[in-house]
Amino acid sequence: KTIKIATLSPEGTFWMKHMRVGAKEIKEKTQGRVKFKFYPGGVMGNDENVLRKIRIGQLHGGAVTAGTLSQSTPDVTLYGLPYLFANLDDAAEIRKTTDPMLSKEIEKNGFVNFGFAQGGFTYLMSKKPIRSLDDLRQRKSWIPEKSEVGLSVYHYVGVAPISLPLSDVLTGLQTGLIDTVTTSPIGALALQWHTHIGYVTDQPLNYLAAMLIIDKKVFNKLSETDQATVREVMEKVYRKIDQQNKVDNIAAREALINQGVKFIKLSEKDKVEWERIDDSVINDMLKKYKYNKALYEAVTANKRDAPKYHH
Amino acid sequence: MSHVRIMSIKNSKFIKLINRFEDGLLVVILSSMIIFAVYQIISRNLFGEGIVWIDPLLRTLVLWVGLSGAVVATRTDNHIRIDIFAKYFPPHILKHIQRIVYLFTISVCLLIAWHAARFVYSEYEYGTIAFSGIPAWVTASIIPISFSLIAIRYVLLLISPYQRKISMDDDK
Amino acid sequence: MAAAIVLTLLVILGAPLFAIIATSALIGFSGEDIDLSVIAIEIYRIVDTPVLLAIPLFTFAGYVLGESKASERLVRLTDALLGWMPGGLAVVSLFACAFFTALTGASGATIIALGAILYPAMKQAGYRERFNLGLITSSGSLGLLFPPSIALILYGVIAQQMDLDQPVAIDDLFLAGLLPGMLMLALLIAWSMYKAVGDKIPTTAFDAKKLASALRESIWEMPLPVILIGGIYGGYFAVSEAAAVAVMYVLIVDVLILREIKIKQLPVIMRDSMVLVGGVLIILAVSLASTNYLIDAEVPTKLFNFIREHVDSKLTFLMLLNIFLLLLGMMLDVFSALVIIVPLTLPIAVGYGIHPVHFGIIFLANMQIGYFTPPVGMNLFIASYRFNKPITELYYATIPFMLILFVAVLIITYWPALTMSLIDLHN
Ligand code: NA
Ligand code: NA
Repeated sequence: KTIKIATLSPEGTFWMKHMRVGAKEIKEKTQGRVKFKFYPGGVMGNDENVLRKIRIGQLHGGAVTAGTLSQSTPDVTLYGLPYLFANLDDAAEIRKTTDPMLSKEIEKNGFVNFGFAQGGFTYLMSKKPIRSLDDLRQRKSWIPEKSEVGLSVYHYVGVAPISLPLSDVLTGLQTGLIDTVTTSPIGALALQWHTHIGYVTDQPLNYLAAMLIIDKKVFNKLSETDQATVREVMEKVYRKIDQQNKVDNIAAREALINQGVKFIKLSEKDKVEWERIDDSVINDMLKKYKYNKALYEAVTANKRDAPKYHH
Repeated sequence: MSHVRIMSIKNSKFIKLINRFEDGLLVVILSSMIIFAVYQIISRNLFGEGIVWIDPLLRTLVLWVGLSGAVVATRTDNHIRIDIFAKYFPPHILKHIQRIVYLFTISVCLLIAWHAARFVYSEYEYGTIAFSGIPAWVTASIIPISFSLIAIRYVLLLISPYQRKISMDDDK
Repeated sequence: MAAAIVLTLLVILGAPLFAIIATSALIGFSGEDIDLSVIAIEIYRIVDTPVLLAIPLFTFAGYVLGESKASERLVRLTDALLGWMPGGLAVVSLFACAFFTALTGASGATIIALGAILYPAMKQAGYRERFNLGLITSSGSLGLLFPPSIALILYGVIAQQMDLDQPVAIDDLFLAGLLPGMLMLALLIAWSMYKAVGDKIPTTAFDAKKLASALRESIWEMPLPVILIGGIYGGYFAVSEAAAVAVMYVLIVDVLILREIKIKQLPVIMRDSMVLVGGVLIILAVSLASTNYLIDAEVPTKLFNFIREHVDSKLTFLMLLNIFLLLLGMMLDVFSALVIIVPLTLPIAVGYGIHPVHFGIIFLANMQIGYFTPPVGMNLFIASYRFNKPITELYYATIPFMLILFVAVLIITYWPALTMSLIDLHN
């Protein structure tokens, strides 16, 4: 059986390299019974199209951002809630308990999941320093399309952000059409936005995560031993990618600093206000997505002042 | 556009009404594209705020205006084709060839329309949202609709073929 | 095989191209046992492609200009300004197309929008039909190398993530594309002048009075390019929004100020322009599906692996690359080609000591020609449709331009300094 997997991640990235190494190992261990075919670089379309193609059977799985399955499994948006984790270590700690819970929820809804790979925190990155919410209100902020949390944050900040296609963002930063973007350090470097920003507001916005999923209908057709092999190898691959991403995000942050980008802190007063906005956003999301109570409470275990669970 | 041969079926009131409706649809879609796109720029520069649903709406309207335009193009069989050999056939043979070509095109369009309808239904079942609460089955519905209409147009052409000008000089 | 013969027969008998392309996709997918609703999923991907917005808007703007007397004014203005120079109007057209394609990508918008004004203008100025067609068709992808070309940006993002030793900064790519792009322009300008002299397009002595009156006449249209460039680089609007500004400007000038077009005429102009857009867009839509079949079946990768077996030196690599990319340019759009082929070819190129920035320019320069390479370069069909000419006519018309640009590609490929010198100078 050849399992066809699509991802936005381009060929040549360590992500793809690890996936190919894993695929080779599986092929050997199953004596060629399970093979993988990868479609990297977004050639099969964005995550939504990948899901559509899984539904009709053209693809069998994908490495997609965690939020992609929000329609069937709202809990996948949990990691993306604003200011959920204090830092990357805190996230790693919490995820030890919540990753398996989340995988189980995903499997209930028709997908086998092999773990999550972090993309780091997103930050406000801007041409002029953003020290306060008032500063942010003066900025021309870009927001990625379909960013539910981002939209909600800006709603409570009280300013309407600008949405542009991804391909227009770099030119937009260059020309001054926008002067503030929200992305992770890795993202800023990969898309070369870092050449046009001078400041990062050192207040994590939300945590990015991606996951590898395979259609359960396809997966269940493999023999039990082959299933176990695929699980074992791909889970290992994803743990590796997850760890490497953490290292890379820290390195990317260093790289930004080395290039002269300044990381600035919010004042204590603004921090309090910022966290109040985060709580409002979380409350909205709690209403919108009917999260699994145990999962929500596990995810917010270290955040003592998190909004209480409600529908 | 004005070279349609006088034929009863093309001059029936009903067809004329449909033609006007399709033309009107094109005008409405294009006008709203212009208005929304310009409003987005004005709103950003004058009021300093963007409107997030305008961009996905505009991209959806590109699909709509394009496929509707293709339907109207079918009225005079005005589709991109390679017309190298048509001039070598005598008219009475060309007529039969055209019928074969029309039958082929009709079947392809119906096949696409059918599978597109299945796609739309699956979007409906799954509840995908296109943007700002608008379901994707609505925005995608233009695909089965337009391919069905193209097929119908070709059926009309099959009944009374449009005389394509073989020697093509500037039409405008 | 039988299917291929029947399809070819249908092409020859004049079946609509969209039906042919769709059928080839349907046959391919059903051969792989893939649910055929994939074709609708692919068509629906039109809504994920922001660059396409330029096509309907710029086409409409072009039609409005085409209905006004703008092309006559353009002829008089270039005649007054550059009338002393052989091929003056052709030179202006080349620059206009290059600028426009840098904004819109090589999606065909240049041919359908600018064609509406340049084609009649060149005709009126006495250029031969075939030269006129060839120039506009081949210029429909000219400008891919100039900023803010999205193709350059995408190449930079892909190459940057490949963990190479040399950096691939997008700013460097913008610099690197300038001279090779100019070389292409310069060669085409030289050819246009040569043709203008040969075809005895009259030249006129410079006349300041004539120029003043032509300037006065064109006072409303001239600012348009300035507004577009100034608006983008001044941060007032995005590249993808330039089309909307152009439409608004052209409407205000031609309908409200000059009143050459009555409001009553607009619905008909809108309909006619959108019929043209429909004819092109339905082909782009079904091409997404046929391209997706090629990708699903890993055809480009297999083709490249086949070619790779015959590579044993830098020279053969570059030569095979040129041929391969030309083929690819006919088959795929530039974005799919970048995403699929750059990761395969770039490591080999770097292994032969080719700088990744240089490689990017070689890649795009080749793709640019692929767009109008017979028999199936997409822009040939778009031009055939736009100007209502048989496709064979377009083949003849574009061949000299293709050969000239191929010479440019060879120079760009084998003379790296042309690409790299501005970067070296800048650093
Ligand atoms: Na092409
Ligand atoms: Na294609």
